[in-house]
Amino acid sequence: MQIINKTRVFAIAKKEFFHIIHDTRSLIIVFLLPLIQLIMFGYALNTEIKNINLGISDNAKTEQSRALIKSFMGSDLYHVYSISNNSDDIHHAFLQKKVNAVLLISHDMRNLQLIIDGSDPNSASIIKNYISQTLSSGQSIIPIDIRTQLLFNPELKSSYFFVPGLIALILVMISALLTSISITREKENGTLEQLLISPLLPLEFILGKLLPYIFISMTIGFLILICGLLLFDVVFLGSAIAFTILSFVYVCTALSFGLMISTVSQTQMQAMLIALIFTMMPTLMLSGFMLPLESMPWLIRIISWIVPAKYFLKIARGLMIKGNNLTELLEPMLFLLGFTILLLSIAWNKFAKQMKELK
Amino acid sequence: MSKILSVYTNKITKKFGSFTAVDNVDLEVYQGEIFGFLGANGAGKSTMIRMLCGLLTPSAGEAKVGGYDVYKESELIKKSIGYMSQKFSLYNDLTVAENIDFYGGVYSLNKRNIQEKKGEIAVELDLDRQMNRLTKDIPVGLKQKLALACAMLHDPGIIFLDEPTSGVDPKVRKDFWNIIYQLSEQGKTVFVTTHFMDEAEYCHRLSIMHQGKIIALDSPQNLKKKNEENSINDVFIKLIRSQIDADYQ
Amino acid sequence: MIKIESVSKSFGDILANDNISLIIEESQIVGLIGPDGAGKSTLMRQLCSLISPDLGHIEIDGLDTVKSQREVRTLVGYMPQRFSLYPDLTVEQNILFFAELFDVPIKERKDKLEKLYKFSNLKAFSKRQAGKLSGGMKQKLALSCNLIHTPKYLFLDEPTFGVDPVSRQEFWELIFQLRDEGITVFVSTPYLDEASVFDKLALIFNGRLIAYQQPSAILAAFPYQIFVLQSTHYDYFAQMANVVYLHLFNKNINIAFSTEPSEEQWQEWLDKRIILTYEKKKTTLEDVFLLQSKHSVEL
Repeated sequence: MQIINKTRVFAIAKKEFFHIIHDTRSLIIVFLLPLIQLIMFGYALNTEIKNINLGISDNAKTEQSRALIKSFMGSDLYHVYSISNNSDDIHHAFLQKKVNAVLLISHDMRNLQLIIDGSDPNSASIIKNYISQTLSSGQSIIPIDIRTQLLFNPELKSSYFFVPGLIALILVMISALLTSISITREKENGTLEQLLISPLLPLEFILGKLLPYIFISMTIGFLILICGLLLFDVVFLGSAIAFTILSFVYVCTALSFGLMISTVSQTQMQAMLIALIFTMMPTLMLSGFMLPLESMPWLIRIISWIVPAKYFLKIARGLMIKGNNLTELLEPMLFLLGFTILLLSIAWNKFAKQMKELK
Repeated sequence: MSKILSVYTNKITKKFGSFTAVDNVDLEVYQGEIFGFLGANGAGKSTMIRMLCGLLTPSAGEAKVGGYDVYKESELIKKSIGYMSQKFSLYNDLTVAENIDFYGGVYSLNKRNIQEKKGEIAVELDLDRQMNRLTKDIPVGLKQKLALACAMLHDPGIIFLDEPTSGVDPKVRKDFWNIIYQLSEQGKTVFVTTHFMDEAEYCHRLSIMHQGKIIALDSPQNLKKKNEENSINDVFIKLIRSQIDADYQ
Repeated sequence: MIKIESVSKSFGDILANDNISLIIEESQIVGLIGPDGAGKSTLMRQLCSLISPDLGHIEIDGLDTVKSQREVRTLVGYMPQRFSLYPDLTVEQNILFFAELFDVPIKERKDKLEKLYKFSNLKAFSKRQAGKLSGGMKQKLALSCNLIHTPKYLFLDEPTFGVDPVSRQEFWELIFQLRDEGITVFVSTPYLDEASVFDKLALIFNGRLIAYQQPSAILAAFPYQIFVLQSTHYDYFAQMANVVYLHLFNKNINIAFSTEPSEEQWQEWLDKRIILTYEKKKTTLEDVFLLQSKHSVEL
């Protein structure tokens, strides 16, 4: 094993850096794209529903039932309408989209019936959550006392759930993309050949390629964190130092993945496709970002173990919302570190082999 | 011609699967020689050069480049050779100075050394005012000379030029060959492949490859005399055609 | 017949073609020679109606390339620099694709294909992927694709670029055969040795047509006698006022004078050992090229 030469590693890193800053257009895209993604995904994933049109049919007409209705009217979540207890009327109201939900109060106040428009199951379940939340928080006199307490996110803000997820998604996507293109570009242009003939070692090449992109990806990480905090009103309870250290590890994992992709693809196009598909799909589906992993079949759950975003999601949610410290997040960090080492050595190995038997 | 051996191969062979790209080739090239490598695409020229540069391990035979063994000392070979290919190995989106810095770094030259070299190149190629221009914006002839200069930054004794003049016009090619002659006079060994047969005439010695074998190796003058032809172009056509005819039978 | 009349074309500040006029007769091979960036490709692209001239006009068989673009395109075949075929399609699929593109009647396709196979010797490779052909065969396939619609005029932009001499010779044999069948070929090439056997040459420098003649006439019109001197005194000659052509190459000086030196002058140089030997050199196309470049090409 030969000794790594610092000059050569920095020569690669510096050159890579020049490529980046000369290409102003791509540079702008690299920084702008994550922000656009954040904003687009952010508003698209925003699952909070305001202005629920709620029809209430008060058949009790007592002090208590009025108090109940008041608690709905007092919240800006609802537009409350009075509706008759006629099933045809209710049916019509739903068909004409006048109401999203109807609450029937029985004449003896014993029975509350909630009818929700189920054509969009997602919003139906959110509406259900809201209404039962209001019912239990109001000083109502519901016969069965359901008292739910939500930890960390008492207002059920959806930004609490999607901002950390988006940081995980955007970081892995951009980072993998950056490094995957950077080597295939040299393959396509034929400059790689010139490097192969020099005394440059494969590991020096790999490390040199990694360095500038760590810097860029970290900058992007902070950028989306800050924008996420400003735009979507999320808390950040952990420490900035912990975020720096942990996102550094995550970025390294993603960049190493990009490097590995570039060893198997021949063209920039190929590299880009692979990078996008293999970062986006698992992060969206298998990291626990969009869909809870607990409800998935065991096979999928096992696969999710190799999705780096799953660990970073723990980290990001822990830091932002729970206020975890570094030691509490040691486990996901070690996983990410392991992935990085594994991916880097695969990339290094494959690349060294290609250098040897280049046809 | 000085008699210091620069490149030596003995029955060197390279197989890719069942395909023999280079077939038992013997070669002796001396210091200061301009050695031409001719042959059709796929004749084995590139494979041969790749082996001599330490990029490919031969399947059989022995080879020494600058005194180093291609099997065991490929890292040392890489330090003592220069290589420039048809595609211009420069980064078009970097400036001239950045390209020089980069290749200086790859060959681990120190900062002062790189600065010195940069100065020399600026004077020699009259590039002083172009140092901060993007490489893609400088004329193609200049780019080609710069590529050669970058390949020579670490002052190698042997230089491989893989179709260095492809895509440039006759005037630029002629200028480039003057540089090749200068290198040879400084005692550098120059390996060159080309598709231009008029350039082949400029070499000290020539080899013509066909299907992995060297079918002719001599000075251009002798090759013409032996084959009773007026130009290397005609020699080449005659030799390859007779070889193809022989293959048919 | 192709008639190019006072054609000018610029791209931004660069005048690529500057008032070019020339007439190309039928059944001829006309070579287009000039340094990189002289405007060769620009002229060629205007001829096959891909771009239109800023000034002047071009007629092919009486059809204006701008006004009758469609008709012109059925008359011409154009093989651009580094013409790329579809490497994943077979030889036959490639040719048939072009047949469909140019709307060659189905009845005729088979005959034409056979004829092209015979002409190019590609029959044995008809089922091979184009990407797996050798450089020379790719060239022939590209040519075949451009011949399937039997064009009357063929424009080739550096068709033999990067191909070995044997394949190049075979390629030119095909081209000469086409000429004898009545096709007019307009071709640019960086190989000056190839150009010397064409019927006519058009020399372009800095966008201007500086000569349009038979190769022999161009050589005969070279105004100077070139001498080859064995000498190390390049600077001595460089400062002489009557030197019109000076080129150092491998310790030999190629030189031409506006007024040739007298016998006494030569003798004096020999005596002073400024030169060791001198001899007259036959002018080649390269010399014509270099003399022109000296005036027009800046590096």
